[in-house]
Amino acid sequence: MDHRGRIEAKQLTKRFNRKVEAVRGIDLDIAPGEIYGLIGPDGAGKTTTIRMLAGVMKPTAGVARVNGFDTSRDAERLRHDVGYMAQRFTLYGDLSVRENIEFYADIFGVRGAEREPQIARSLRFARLEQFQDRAADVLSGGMKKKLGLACALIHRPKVLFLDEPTNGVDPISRREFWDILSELHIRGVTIFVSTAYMDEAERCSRVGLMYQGKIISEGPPASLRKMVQGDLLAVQASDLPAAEAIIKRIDQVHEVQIYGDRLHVFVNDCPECRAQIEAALKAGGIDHIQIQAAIPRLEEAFISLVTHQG
Amino acid sequence: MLKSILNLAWKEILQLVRDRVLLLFLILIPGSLLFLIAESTGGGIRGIKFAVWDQERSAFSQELITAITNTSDFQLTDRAQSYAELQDLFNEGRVGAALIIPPTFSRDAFRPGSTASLGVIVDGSNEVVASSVIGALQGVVNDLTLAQWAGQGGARPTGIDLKIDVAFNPTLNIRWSTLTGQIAIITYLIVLVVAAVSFVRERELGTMEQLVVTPISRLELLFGKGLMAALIGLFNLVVLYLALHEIFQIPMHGSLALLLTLGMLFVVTEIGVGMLISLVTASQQQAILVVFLLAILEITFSGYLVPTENMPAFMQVFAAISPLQHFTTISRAIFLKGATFTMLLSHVIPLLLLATGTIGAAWVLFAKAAD
Amino acid sequence: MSIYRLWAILKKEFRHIWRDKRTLFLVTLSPALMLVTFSYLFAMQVTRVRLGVWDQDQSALSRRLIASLTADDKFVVLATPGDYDALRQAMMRGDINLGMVIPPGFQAQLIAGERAPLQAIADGSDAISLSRVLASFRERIAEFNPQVAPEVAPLNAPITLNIQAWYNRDLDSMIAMVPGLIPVVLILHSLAIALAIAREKELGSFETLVATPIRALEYLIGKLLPYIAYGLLSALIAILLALVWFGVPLRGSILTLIGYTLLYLFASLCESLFISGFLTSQGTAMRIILLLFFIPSFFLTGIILPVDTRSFMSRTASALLPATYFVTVTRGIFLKAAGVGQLVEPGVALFVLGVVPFALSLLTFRKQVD
Repeated sequence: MDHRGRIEAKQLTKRFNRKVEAVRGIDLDIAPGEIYGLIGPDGAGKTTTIRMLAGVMKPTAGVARVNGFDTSRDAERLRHDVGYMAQRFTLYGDLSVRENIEFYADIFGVRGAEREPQIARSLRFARLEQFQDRAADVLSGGMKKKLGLACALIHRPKVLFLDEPTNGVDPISRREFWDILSELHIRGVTIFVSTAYMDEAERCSRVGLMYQGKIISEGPPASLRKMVQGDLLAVQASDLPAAEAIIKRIDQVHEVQIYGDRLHVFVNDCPECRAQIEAALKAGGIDHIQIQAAIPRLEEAFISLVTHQG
Repeated sequence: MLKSILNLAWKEILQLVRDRVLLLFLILIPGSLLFLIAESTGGGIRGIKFAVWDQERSAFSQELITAITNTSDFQLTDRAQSYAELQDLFNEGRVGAALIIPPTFSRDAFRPGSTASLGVIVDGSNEVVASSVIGALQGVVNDLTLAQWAGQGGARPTGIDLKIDVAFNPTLNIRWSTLTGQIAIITYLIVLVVAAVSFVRERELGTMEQLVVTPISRLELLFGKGLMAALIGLFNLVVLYLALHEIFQIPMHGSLALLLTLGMLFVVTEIGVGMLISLVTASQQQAILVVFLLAILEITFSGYLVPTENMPAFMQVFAAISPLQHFTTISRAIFLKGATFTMLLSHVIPLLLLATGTIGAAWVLFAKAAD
Repeated sequence: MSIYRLWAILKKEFRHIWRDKRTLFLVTLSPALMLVTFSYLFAMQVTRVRLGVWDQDQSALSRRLIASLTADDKFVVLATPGDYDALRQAMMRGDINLGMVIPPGFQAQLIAGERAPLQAIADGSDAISLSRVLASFRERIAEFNPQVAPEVAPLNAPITLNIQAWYNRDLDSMIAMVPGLIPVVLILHSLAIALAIAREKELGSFETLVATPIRALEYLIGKLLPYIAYGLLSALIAILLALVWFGVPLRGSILTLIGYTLLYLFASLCESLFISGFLTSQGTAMRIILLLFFIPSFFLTGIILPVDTRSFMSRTASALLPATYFVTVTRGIFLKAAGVGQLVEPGVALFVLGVVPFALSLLTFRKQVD
């Protein structure tokens, strides 16, 4: 079986200092060409997972395989086929954009006739052509990330690992970044990306929800959305904390989330709940009530799933 | 305000404790260095290798050689038979001195009115050793001469009979001098680096912005970081004192309280200097290199290697404004001479001025730089 | 190993060093600056004695003694205490470092042809320079002695020393000191390389390198070579300074000197390379280099004080410092016209002191993020 472009993990575990278990035996099987998104709150273990899969950190137990090769024992064999972009800016600030890319091109053995064209392509691909002579540390956040991506792709890897690549980046740059990822996806590159942005997760083939070192749910974004139990009502009122307290006491309500200026209320199979909630709120002296049906998004699904874990 | 300063200092300490290598360093290195230098310089000028070309081979020439090797200053390693041999020995650096005893040595020495001439060759490429060799040999020869004269019932020597007492260090233990000076140097290094790196580190790692947006005021930031460095300085002083007193058995003639108080004054000055460096350099790397250079210059002028009054005039000026110089003198004076506060005023006052100067400058610069 | 990848790393490292002009200046020119400072300090030091005199005799002879002692500016009377307490106090304050007590009857005894006692109290808190102070003092007393009782035949010393100082006929301190200091001032480069490595780890760029095909050997050589090159540049400036400014004669071959300089840089940078493998912060790097290499170099290489060759500990420590061997080499080549033939031992030692840490670095290199 051709494992090219395939990412696997079996009981992958990482323990720090013999006490802290950052990743607790996770299993993964990602097919070639997929975009897999790993979502989770801070401290869930995403970065550690990616580091182990990319072969920059050794697991304490379990095994990870990319292209069929063990990432711990055969790490060096994977270097040419894997691209890795770390979470923080780890390129050379005092070198220019071009110099950074040239450096990685040389390190990855991109030479001879294809070197110049590949570097030019990289710059164009990452939309950094006009900035190629600028020092890397004076770039904006978005451009730094694009540079990181360009350097991770210079050797045209089959598999790409990205650790929160758009963290702290403005929305327009984020969109541009994902457009680039889409192009790669079309070319058949397997992409493993961790992100905290739910809207980005929607663009993945499959999503894995990670919480406290374990993957608690996995599947295409649509099916995950469906995993949310019950129907969703969006409730607006004058006094949200008080409203929350009142609504929680209602029987068929199994979850309430405060969401900015409204409450998201999850109810179980309850057509009359709408009226019930309205009545209860009015009885509690709360006014300016507005209740609407809403479609649960991945975000709600995630919060809901996580809450039920704990 | 005090609360936020303490909070900040606590955070800094936590960061420090987590950096395990640093912790190890703070405890182990001063101690081991102390020990190492103590070991190597404990004896002063001792065991200098020398060669002898004894052209007479008489009982008296052997007596001379024995007298020389009996002092712990010299060890006989080679007996040469020719000039060429001596040249080889010196060229290869195998001996530091050589003695050529002429064939008419004893005859000339004992005949009244004549003088025996001993050939002495010293390795001039190490001038310090060379001068001491000459001095030591002269001493041995003089003693031998006196003994001979006394034995032969010769004329009683007349003139001044010099008696020398050594105050504060009766056994002339060099270790006492070097180690008491080292308290100052080691404290200096540790505090200075911690302070110099404090601001630059945050800037480099990017955590500075986060600090600046917190409600903490500039003054509190300065004090918080300074407090941590001060605590480290204090800890260090205590550890070094204990090492000196308990392990090396150096008696403390002065007041520990005074040593620690003036030590803290010194620490505060160095924190000021460190912060100044921290504010004018762009990266940790630069800050550290500047600290390194400054450290070398200050150690040079500190009086640790060469006493201040022996320096050329223009260097004495630098010594006068060097906080390290003042504290080195202070720590030696308190430890070995039991000096009191009033006796040390000529060093305390400059230190006080330097402390206010550096901290003040750091404050002003920081207020500007934090924008 | 890929030359291609090595070349990429070398190019990058050179660029880093070149772009940071302030550091570049510090690292290249400082050794020369240090050389000037140290040499002047050590070589130009004069033994100045601050004298405190308690003249209990107050005679013509005692006054003549004091006058002859202080004839030049080397001895200065800064206190005239009236009792032992005052003398001691003056010494505690640091006003004087040598006290002289002339007992009553001093003149009378000397004129009568008897031995007259003279008491000197020296400040032992600075034991290092004490011997010089006392030697100076003894010398002057010995000079004064014959003048005291001219009728009595002075003690004729039947043994005189005929002294030759080889390689440095006039025992010029500068000539002796400068070659010995060159190794010490070049240690700055050990610091520079340690900082660069620690910095890379701190800023995180090492993490991205881990994900590349780069090998340990390429990484280490890529770090080592640029710093050897910069070290050589500083060394050449320092050597030039020694020859032109200080007028130190170069009796051996300049090529041999350069060859050994490279060997020395190799040894001291490899030791630093090895240690930095374990360091995570730049501050620690600095302190360790300063305390473990620089300061010991002053004491253990025999520049200021000769190494106590009887102590096992200091012999071992001294043997592990590349500077010790390079001092032998610089002194040998500058002053003793030594060639490779005479300097085989230091050469081999330096080679070993470089290769072993390098090999260890290679073996302990962890290509992963912790």
